[in-house]
Amino acid sequence: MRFRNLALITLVALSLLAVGAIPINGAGSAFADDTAVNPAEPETRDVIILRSGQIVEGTILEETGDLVKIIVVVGKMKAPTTYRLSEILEIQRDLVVVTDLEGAKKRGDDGDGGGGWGDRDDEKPINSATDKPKVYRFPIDGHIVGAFPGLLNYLQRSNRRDIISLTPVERTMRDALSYDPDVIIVEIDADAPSSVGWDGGVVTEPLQPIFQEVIDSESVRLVFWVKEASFGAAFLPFICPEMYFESEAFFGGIGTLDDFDIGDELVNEKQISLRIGRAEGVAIKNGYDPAIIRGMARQQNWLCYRFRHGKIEFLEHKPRPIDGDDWVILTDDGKGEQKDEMKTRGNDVLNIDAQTAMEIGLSKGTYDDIDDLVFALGIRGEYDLIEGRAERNFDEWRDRVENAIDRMVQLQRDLDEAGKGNGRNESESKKIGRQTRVLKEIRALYGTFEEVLDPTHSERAQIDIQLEALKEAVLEARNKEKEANRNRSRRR
Amino acid sequence: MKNLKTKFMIPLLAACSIFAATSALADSIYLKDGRVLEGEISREGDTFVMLTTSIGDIENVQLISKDDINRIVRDSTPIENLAEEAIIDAPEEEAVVSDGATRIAFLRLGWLPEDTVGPYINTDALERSVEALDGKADVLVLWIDTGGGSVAETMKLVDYIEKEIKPKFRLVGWVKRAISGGSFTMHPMEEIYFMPETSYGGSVAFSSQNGKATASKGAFLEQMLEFGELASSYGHHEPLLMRAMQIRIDLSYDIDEDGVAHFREDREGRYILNTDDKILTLNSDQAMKIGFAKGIASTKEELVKKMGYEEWVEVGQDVDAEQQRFRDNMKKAETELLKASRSFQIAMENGNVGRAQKFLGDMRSWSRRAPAWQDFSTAGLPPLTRELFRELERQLDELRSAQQQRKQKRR
Repeated sequence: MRFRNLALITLVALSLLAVGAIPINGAGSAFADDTAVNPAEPETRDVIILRSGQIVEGTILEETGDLVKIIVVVGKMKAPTTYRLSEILEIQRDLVVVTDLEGAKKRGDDGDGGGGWGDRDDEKPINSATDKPKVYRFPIDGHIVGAFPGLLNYLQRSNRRDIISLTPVERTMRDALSYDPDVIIVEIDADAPSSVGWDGGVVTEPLQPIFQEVIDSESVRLVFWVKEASFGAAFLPFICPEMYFESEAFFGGIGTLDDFDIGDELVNEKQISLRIGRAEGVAIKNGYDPAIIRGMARQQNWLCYRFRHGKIEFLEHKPRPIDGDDWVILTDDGKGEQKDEMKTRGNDVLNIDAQTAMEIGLSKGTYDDIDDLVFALGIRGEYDLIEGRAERNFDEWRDRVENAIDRMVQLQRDLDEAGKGNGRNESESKKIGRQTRVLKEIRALYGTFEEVLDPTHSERAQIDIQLEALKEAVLEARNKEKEANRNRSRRR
Repeated sequence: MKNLKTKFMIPLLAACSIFAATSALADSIYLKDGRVLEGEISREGDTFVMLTTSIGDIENVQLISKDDINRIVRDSTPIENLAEEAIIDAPEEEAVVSDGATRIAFLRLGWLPEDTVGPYINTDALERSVEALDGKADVLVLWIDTGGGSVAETMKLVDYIEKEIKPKFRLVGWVKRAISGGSFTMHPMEEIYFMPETSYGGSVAFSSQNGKATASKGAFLEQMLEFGELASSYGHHEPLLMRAMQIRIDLSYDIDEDGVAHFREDREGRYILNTDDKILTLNSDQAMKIGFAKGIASTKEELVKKMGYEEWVEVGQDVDAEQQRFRDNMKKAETELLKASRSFQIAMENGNVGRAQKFLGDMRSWSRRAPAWQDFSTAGLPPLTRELFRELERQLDELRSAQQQRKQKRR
């Protein structure tokens, strides 16, 4: 395989560099761009060797704290990328590039894209001249409401119609996998009902296995690209070990566990504790520090961070002199002078922007353009961006839910009218028959749209009771009607 | 090399009768309402399944929406032998175990979040499993995922684990989620392994009334704290750990040069694990740091490797499948019992003695099929004790005689 060979050559060259600063040979072809090289002033590159085994070349622009910003160059492509120091094994600066276009031609490399600097030899080649890598764009754009009891009332009260629940997500994942993609980019721009606070995280639970299964299978690389993930929706990206942010991204805005109230103080603390424990578990499983979860959980919680020797340190209380300097306060307890005017924009609860997300190890990079993100994911050269049926799936489902809600409202009216007899001179058993038919239709709608309208089956259980009562009533009505008929016959 | 042949018997439980199939081989459709339909899937679309069932020469075709389906187990497995699909491979009739290989049985306690200690994680059911494994396994791994449950059953389980299971096997706990009663259940085990996502703790005992929960107080709290100490002593765990899971205390620790954590009930230790305004739930990072978890494992292979076995064989899959069947049976019975009890109440309110009698009969029948419901309450339903049935019969008799009196008066 052409690209594997190139990758090997590059690795050999770099390992030599590590011991003897020998100029890059062979791999120079991968640098070939349209920049003229003056033999008197040899072109240089900075090389970053990542702990993941990936090797990145380009020009380092800036190093701040624990971040290194570099313009990555591959072929004619250039893209700014930021790496955390903790991800970096080694930085090599100003290595001389030996341009060996002739050699590249001999190897069949046109020097234009492709050809890696860091492919591990055992990695699945993600790019080839004949078979472009496929990237599936999976937008999750709207209001996540999966398994939210009382949603019908909520939707009738609120003006949110951009709902996201299990069915369209499941269908979109099926659509994505049907393309056999190399990468699925889950573009999340979503919130969840703020009224359910931390337990709003539960609304994402039905969706999690859909992504988890793909992530666990390791057959497709799945990454989250965060534009907004707020309230309960903020929990969803934690299921993925690879999270990227947009520069204006907004993440967080939860911190409502303090409001939790199902019993006395101790019982509430138990419930808070086990909820945090569960969310911490998801974070730990996917390589995120559980301190971030604790910072998100309660308004009373503090979260500060700083870097020491390239490693991040968290502090979960107000910094004291004994704790040392350089702490950056991400969230405070929101008490007294620390109280913010806007909960979702201050730091009373943990709200995380793109820069912070990078620094605290939540985000692996900040990209505003999908091409840049794809490039950062290691796809060189051209790729197929698959839009698929995602948008249609979400729109169709929303229309169907909206129609169901309208129909439900109509059926409730029909039910009331059926109970009154609607001014018709109809027998009791006929009235009950009409009520039964309407109730059965309502029940069927709850069943079809269970995931949003009746996740706990409580509405259907209620209808079952009503149906059973109607069954009894119709028997009684028929008996009365029979008796009335008998009486009439006797009188005759 | 001499081979040791282990024969696995598939025990027949009375509980199987509720899944009695019309034919020996079947596709099984588990509906979300708890029902299980069996037959042959004759057609399937994106949104529906057509199931053909036969009784004698009569064929019936049912169209079922996929929205109503929880899971489908496809064909050829005799329903009596049905194991949790995709989780457990069908048990082998005979397993060939090389000399020296350690026989390890994995038994799941709880699978779904609603699998509570008591009706679903149950001492009697565990006892049957342990008896079936006795002499067939060297190591027993109890895997748990639960949000808690009945205090009385938790106490029974802890006692049974300590006195009956530990002498028989090398016992290992493997935790996905052990909250409240789940943490007590695991606590008598000395060897506890976590998964990366594990949470363990939140062990406050409480009771609920009118939708409000109240934590245990007074003598009952004292009893619970003593029980926590007992479970800790069984598992040789630091008692302050369980205490911090039960009540709000400061808990900090230092780690000595051998890496051993030493706890103290204040904030003076180098590392603070809990403060006196919170209840402790351990995550996998913390559990490893303090040495509570012996290791972290996501798969059986990882776990066994960490337990130190190179040559091993998994045994007892059929026993684990029985546990799953027990839980399925309890779930189905719970659904049917709730339905029957609601219908009974409505029939009584409407004075329909005949139908009330029928629904009461249904309740009796389901309580016999899933006897654990005689000991535990479920949402909206008290334990189905003899006394309860006697009381319901009495109400029914009262209604019957009132109606007879009215009839006589009319005559």
